[in-house]
Amino acid sequence: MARKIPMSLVLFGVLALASFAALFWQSRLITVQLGDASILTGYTLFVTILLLGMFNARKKLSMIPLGRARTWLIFHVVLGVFALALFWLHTGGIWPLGLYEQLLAGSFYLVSASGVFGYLLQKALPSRLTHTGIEIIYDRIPAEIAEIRERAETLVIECTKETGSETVAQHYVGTLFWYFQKPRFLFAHLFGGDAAGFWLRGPGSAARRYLNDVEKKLFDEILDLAALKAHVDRHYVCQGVMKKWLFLHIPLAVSVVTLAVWHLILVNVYVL
Amino acid sequence: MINDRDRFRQDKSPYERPNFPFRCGRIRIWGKPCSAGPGLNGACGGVSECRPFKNGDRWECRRTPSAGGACENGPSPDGSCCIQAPPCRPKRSLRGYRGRIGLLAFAFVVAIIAAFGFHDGAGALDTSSPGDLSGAHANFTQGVGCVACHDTHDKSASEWIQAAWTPGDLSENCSTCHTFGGPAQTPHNKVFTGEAALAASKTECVMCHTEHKGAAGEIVAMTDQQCHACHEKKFKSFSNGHPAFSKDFPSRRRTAIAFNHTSHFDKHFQNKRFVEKAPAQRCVTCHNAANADRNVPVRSFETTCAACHENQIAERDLHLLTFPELEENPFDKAEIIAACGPGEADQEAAAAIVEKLAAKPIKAAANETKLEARVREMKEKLGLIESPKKPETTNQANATPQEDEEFESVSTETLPPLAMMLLDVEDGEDPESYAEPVSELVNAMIESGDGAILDLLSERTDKAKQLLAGLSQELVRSVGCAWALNQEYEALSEPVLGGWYADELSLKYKPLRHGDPVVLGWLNLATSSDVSEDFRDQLLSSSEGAGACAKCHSVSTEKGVSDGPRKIEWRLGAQSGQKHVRYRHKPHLNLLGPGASCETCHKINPDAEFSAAFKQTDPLNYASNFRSIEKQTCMNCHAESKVKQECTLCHEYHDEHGFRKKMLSGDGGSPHSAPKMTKK
Repeated sequence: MARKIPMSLVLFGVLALASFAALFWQSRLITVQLGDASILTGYTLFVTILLLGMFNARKKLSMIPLGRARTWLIFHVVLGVFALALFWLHTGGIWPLGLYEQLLAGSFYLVSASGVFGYLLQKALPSRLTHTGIEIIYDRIPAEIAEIRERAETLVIECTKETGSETVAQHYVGTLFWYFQKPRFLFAHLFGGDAAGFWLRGPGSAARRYLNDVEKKLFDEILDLAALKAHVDRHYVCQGVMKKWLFLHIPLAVSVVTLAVWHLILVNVYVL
Repeated sequence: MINDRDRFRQDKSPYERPNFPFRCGRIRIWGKPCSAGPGLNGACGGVSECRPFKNGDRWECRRTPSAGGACENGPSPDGSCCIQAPPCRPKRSLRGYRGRIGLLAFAFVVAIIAAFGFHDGAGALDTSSPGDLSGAHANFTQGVGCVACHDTHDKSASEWIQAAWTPGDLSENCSTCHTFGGPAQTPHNKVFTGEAALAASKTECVMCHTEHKGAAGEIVAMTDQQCHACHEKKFKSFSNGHPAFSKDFPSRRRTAIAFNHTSHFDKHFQNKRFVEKAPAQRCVTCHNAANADRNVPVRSFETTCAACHENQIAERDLHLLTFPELEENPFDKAEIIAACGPGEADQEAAAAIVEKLAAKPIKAAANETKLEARVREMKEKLGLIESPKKPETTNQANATPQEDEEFESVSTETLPPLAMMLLDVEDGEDPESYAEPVSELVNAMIESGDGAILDLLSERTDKAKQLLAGLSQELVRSVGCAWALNQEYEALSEPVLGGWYADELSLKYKPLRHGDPVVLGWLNLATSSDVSEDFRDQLLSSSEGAGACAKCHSVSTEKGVSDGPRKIEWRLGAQSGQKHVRYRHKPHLNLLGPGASCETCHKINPDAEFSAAFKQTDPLNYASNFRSIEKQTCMNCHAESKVKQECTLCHEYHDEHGFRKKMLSGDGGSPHSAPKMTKK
């Protein structure tokens, strides 16, 4: 079944297309009439860049009802594509000649590329997280892992007390402690692999054959906790990537805005 | 646990919000974070489990329910929490890091701008340069830098702020180096008057020329649509809607040389006498196809016309001065002989007197020797001294030897216009009006040679020396002496190579070659507005004298004003007067091949009244030897899906684009040194 295209995407897309067509036509008209179309396209591009920056401001002002974050994201993405097209219309080419303009264009392309990268991440990773069946706040993950570890260690002690056998305890100390200590198999989680499950089914549960029924019952509970931690680890990696790509996108966006402001000043002082 | 949906209830969970700048430092080692968490300033908040509250005289535990509620032991007597833990080093949250990196990026960019933003120099990160200048502009601005065009470049911060809000005028700076045939900022540099002036909008150089496109950047590109933005008559392309060429295209203006192609090809070159001299390669025999550009230049006189016309030049003398007829002898013979020596006739008369006196007895005075008395008598006879007064008879009372014999002038000529101009005489046929100035000139010629004529000429032109170049003092003096003694000057020899010479009653100049500078100077003088018509007509007369130059070199007035200043078209070259049309012959000649291919476009019109156009001075009143070129001729190649046909291929926007002289005399005198950018 085909996925339904969001109405806001259609609306913003049509608006962006219409705006670009109008700008393209108007700039061509200005050029033909021996005017300077780059004034129109330049100022429009600058306002577009500022509007793109509003997305970050909207996240900081979450207490104010400024529309749904999803709608804002679509608006941000559509406006980003519009800005890229407008940039080419403004510069009249792919790569400018001046060193400063090259710096500005390079930053603009990088911020655009990082935006595309982030958008792809936002499309790919959340579905993978949904498959884990749990929801977890990224900032709580260390606490959750600590809590899982605490529960596992409580089970190990309980097992030792009940059975008088140290097999589970020794297996935990020798093997499982490493796993419960912090997130493991990060790359596998990021790229959708099941290295954690493979490890748990192999080295992680290697002692199970030597356990009696009581131990097995408690050991299975420990393995359930280990499986839960694998899901938490997946959240940790995927959410982390979805947050950390902004470490590239936002500083670059700040650079582009700053460079654009200086460019605007220079144009006004030197040319207009 | 994770699956517990109530775990974030306010009384159960220390909910960590993403916008908190710090997080508990225990997560660094993946330990369990404390419930209190760090403060907003980044200090550890988990040293104690709670902050006990003093209720009356007792301290009460305030541990939160989510952390387990009130502890068993309760606060210490001093009010401190009984459960103490070592402090952690809180970790900055992701958002905290992101904010700081954003600030760092901002600071980094500002630092780059501050470091390089105001630098003016090639090779460095010059934030003010949007790209390299085109080659020509880069060369002459390298010494001055951006300020050559951008006034605001080296201004203070306050002036920058002011400039950001004030409309700039880059085009004004363009005209500190570039010149045009008209105003720099009107369409096509044309001067508009009346309603057209109101309708014509101000044009800016930057409307069409965009710089900083790199050293090889195209800064003059203009599309057909841009031309049509102003031009009312719009059409799709040259082959589709362009108006037909005018009936006199491209020869609207008379050629500099009155060379009649029709008569030469159809008549003279057919003549048996000249058939060997006829151009073997037709057009390119005289037109130099190797240097073809807008025009195909005519080769030099020596390689084209000289074969038939060179001898005609030497035959056309310039008559500077002719000794006119005088009614009375204005010269003092004694003084002339004293200055020049006796003439031939006087020498013969003296010999006869000497013989006569020798046979006569000497009547010496009381205080004289015989020899002295003989010399005195001879001088009296020759009229060099007066005779002692004798008792006068009635008939002899008023008579002198000069009055006895009637004066007969050696010349019967009138004073020519050129001499009239020199002597400022109004009527060259009235001896009474010119006798005095002529005698003064002849006396001055005897006294100072060519200096006499030079002085007179210098009063009328500052090029007197050029006009008299090669005129010797001795020749002028000899001529003056002969004329003063009422004799014809007898030249020792004929001037073979040309130059100044005299014969009998005239002082003349024989042209040395084609383009003789002396003749050129005199003819140019004749075209100046402060000479008489007689003078002009005599000098420019194609039938006699040096005016023969004007037989081939047309004499024109500006813009068809018949009584306006005239000029002789000495230089060959573009005469079309179509300022905004450009055409390059060379690529067409390369394509079609030189020679007969010229006549593909230039077809001789045998019916044109070509010669008539050179009998008057309006250069625009002209009938070319050639038929008008038709648009269809060009369209054979320049059409849709053939060769390109943009407006700018054949039309140029500017009128007489040039450069100011200071471009060559910049600092250091080098053509590449920067010009001083002072405004007019």
